[in-house]
Amino acid sequence: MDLPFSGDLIAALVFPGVLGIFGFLVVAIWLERKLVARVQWRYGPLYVSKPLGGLLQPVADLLKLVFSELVLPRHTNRLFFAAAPILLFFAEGLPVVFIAAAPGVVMAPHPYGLAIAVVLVLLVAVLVVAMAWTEADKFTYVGAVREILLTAAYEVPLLLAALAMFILYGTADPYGVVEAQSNLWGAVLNPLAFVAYLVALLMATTRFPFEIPEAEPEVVLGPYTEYGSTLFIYAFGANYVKLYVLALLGSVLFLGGWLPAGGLAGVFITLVKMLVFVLPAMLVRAIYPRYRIDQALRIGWGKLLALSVAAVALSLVWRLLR
Amino acid sequence: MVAILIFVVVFLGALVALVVVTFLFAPRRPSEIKERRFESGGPPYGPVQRRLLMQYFGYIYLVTVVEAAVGLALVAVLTAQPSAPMLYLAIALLLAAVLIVVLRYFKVLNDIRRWS
Repeated sequence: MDLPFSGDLIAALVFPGVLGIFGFLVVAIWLERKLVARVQWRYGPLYVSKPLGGLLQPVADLLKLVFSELVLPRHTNRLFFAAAPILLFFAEGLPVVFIAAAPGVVMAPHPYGLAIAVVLVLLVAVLVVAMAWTEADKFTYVGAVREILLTAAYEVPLLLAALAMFILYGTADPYGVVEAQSNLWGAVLNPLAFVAYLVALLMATTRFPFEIPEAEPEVVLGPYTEYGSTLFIYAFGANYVKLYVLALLGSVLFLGGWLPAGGLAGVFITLVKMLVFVLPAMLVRAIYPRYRIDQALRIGWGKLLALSVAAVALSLVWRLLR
Repeated sequence: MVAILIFVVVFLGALVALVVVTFLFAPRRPSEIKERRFESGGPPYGPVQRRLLMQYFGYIYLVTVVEAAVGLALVAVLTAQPSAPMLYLAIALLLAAVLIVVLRYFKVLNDIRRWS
């Protein structure tokens, strides 16, 4: 099935671009609430659009927030206070520029595209800390310190998981990576890297059990405490955008991307494969308690590091055997 | 290149536009309490930006070194010839060195009382 418009325009405006990012924000919030409710024997949101299972509830919530009073605290630098969450949300979505969702559906095809995307994902933590610093609140301050430490826990395992797959495929070009998985998916060739990536994804998106920077009973909302209205949507929604980006990256790196189809069907296949990363990230909220920051650091530099180093070793063995 | 520009303009434009909508149409009833720092009902904390507690900061030193090494390995893998056994050996040795350093200092990093 051929694409009706030029692929790079579809990538920019529809998927994985602007519409995909905002659409994911709505669907992911709804899906998370519904899944967790199901685990806890509840119905979840139903008040808005009951026939659709409450799908429009997040839209109603977001609209309510857009038309809520915009409060800029007087102790902050108001320009930076307003700009920080916008920049954060934007930066979280930026890696999709280099990730292909189907043949031709990529904004910037680049031989090192997936490596650039990984680096862009890792750079964004700086903006979370800058945002928390701008808010100048004790809860945001503690949240920022936790964010820095959590970043220190997952950065190296995430990079090593990516390195393992680049060694295996011999390229970081999205097309080359997907083509290399035409017989067997990366997750089957190197399951250690897949597991390391999945755990690092949970840490990077501060999902349970690593929801440490914004632990509600301890630090209100951590780095987002001072925000309300539209700025809260951006500050809070940025993590969902990161989940979207890492799920897309993961589906290309580990699950064969758009294969076995191309064109529009390939786009849908990529979307479905993203669920392999998104659903566990949603469900763990209903299952796990929260780790302390020192426990997360110990996991990151202990078991997770060992797992990701073993993943690189496995890839090296595969390459030498080939 | 055009697609990237369109993405940046539309994405950033939409984000800014929503804030403008809020600024123009959301109700405004400013009050002193609303603009105060959120203290969660506790006593005022005073200046927030203060000296950091150093506990667990050994990890930050560790990540700056190890991440740079892994970054170098990443660049080497992506720019090397398709099959380069010597490169693979170098990566294996590098990761072995990382593991040894982490194992050597793991207990110290986890317990601030051992930092001296």
